[in-house]
Amino acid sequence: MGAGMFAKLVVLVLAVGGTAVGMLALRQSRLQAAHEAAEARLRMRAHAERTMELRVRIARRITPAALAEYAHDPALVPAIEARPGQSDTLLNDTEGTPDEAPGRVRP
Amino acid sequence: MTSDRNADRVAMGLRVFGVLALVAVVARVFQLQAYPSDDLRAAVDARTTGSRIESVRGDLLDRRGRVLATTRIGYRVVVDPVAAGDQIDRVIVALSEQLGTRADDLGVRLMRAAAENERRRAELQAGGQAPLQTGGWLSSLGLTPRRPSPDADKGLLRFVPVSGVLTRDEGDAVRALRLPGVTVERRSVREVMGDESLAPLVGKVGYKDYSNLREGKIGAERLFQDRLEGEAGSLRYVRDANGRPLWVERGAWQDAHAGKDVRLSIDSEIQRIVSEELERGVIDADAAGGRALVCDPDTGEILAMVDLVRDVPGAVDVPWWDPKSGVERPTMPEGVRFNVIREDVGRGSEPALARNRCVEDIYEPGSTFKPFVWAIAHELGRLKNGETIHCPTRSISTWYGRHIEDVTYREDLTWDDVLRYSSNIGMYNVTERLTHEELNSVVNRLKFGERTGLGLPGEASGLVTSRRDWTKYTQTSVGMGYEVGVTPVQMVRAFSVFARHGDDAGTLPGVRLTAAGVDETRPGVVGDEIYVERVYDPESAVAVREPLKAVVERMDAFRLRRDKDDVPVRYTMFGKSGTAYIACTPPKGLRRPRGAGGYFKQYNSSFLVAAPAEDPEIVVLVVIDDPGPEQIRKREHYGSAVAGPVVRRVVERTLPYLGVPPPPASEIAKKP
Repeated sequence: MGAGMFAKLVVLVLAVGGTAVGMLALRQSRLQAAHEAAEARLRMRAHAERTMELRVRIARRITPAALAEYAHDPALVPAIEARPGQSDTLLNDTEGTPDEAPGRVRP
Repeated sequence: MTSDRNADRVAMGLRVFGVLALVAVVARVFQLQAYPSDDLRAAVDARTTGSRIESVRGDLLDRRGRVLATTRIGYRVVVDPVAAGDQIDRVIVALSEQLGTRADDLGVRLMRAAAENERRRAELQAGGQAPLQTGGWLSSLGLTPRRPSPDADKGLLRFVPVSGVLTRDEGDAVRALRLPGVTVERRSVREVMGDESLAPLVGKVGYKDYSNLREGKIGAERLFQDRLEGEAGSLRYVRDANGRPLWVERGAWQDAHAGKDVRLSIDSEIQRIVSEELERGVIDADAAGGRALVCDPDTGEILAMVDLVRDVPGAVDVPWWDPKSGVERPTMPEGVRFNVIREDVGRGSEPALARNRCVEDIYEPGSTFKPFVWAIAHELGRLKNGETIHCPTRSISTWYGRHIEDVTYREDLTWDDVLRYSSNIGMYNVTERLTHEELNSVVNRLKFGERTGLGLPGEASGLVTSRRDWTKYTQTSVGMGYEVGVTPVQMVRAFSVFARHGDDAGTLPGVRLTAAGVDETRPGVVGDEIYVERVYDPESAVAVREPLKAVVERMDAFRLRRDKDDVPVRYTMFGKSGTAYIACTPPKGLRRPRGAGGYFKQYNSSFLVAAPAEDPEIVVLVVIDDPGPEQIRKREHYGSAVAGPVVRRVVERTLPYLGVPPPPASEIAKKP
């Protein structure tokens, strides 16, 4: 075998090897992408499940019967009825006047 | 020279062979990929798993968008006693700690399943069947196969659910224990919110044809199945020898599409109001049950539908007689209270399975039917202005010898008084001025005897005597609300003809269970079509209101005399009371006991109104089934005594909620 032929063979082997490595890399990246997509879908599914669960909990708490119960709950009535300037049992001395209270729901 | 030439030929031959071999390989690969043989396809398919991705069922919402039924994902712990094997004790202890259940209870269930498996194994072996742990050629080498043969577990219990529905976190906690034979199953759970009285209306989902798929079985869940269902997705993947996914081909994953929401016409707040007031009314009247409906007369939307049944202590079943039984016909007991509401097995087991008596059970409406007859006589000009009927006695005998009596006696009655005092004698006079054809025709035009089209399963069509069988007795009876069987939903639809506005007065709306598209932000399910059919001319439909206002005023006066602390009158309304004997109708194939007449001495008492009287927004019907004997003894079993107060309280709570202002104070002052 001459030197020329040897060089050709080397080039051929390198080309085939390079192609194979390239294809493997492509395959690996495809698997990686598929894996990430599957992970993302699982995360989406988990979030969707969580949303559904929260939706159920909220729906249970805002049925007319539940709201009527809250309206008659002595612990919640002051918060519902309080107006600026009136005594507000949910505030203490450190929280300032009712008007300054943070997060206060205004009528 | 010759050897060189031969060498070249051999080399050429090898090259050609190599090229041909390569071509052959490429062709074979192509053929295997594109056109695999059946055997190959079967082998590949065996390594491919397809699964269905369930769509999330749409929600059922009320008229204002509140959730009535929705879906969430729940988890359930399932144990395979075979896979748990000799570690079952560890599984029981760990699971009971994690699930917070008693180890005894859990242990009993699992050990019972394990014992049953042992018994079945022994039975199989005794029956001469193949050994359960077949090892094939591996056994001959003294090796145990990694996985037992599928046949080995055939017929054994391998699926024992051991928990209720868990949240995702709870499911994850069980998974983290990594217990042998324990799996956490994911499943969708349908949650129904709100008042229990809504359960029969919302309905229930169940498994479809023994599969794992779920579908609406009853109520609105079944009625709107196509819309709620959504479109399932699919996933196909290639798995390895252990069943784990290897890869998913492009396009092999198709997402599911969630079902659409359905907005019902029911308003859960009005439903709650009606439910509370009806329950109070049923208890106050010591009644066996009650039914109530609220309807929007303009759109035909059913805003509330409640059906209550109460256990009456001491009530006895009617001893119906089966002629084929060979036993002697029993005698009807006297002086007892009978169970007059048809037995409902489903109601006892689960609220959603209850028979919805607002659409399924018919009753004779009694005097609440009188306005329909009065209005047609008015329209046909048979009730002359200023005319007075003279009744010298409380009871009369008709020209064909039938006895008719008034409860509230007035010697002279105007046509308005006939409705105001609910005079049977007056109505006899009205019906005598109508031909059979005219009265039969208006009953049919009001669509009694036809299903309303609500679509709820089991809806009754009612009973109306055919024109051919219509007699003079029928003519008189129908005028008083007897010999006609109606459902509560038919009655509110029919009464809506008097409550509709302007030129629509006198037209019959189509009732609906879905919200009408009353505004752009809340479009209806089937658009804005409100189907109507004319029954009376507008003038006659409105003319009925005046005498019916007087009926309500009499009811309120009585109500406040009896209980001055009852809700005061803020809204005007017009309506009619009705009290009718309950028909003694034997079930199919049975007969009445000896001595039983066509009716029990028990009543259906009802009150049907539209409010506010000047501009009706709602039509309300309350039927109190079988008020108690004490009420009958005190003569307080009438519709205006037991159903009227319920209607009044429902109206006084519902109209403010709907934002309807009460009339000016001067109008209210006129009221009792």
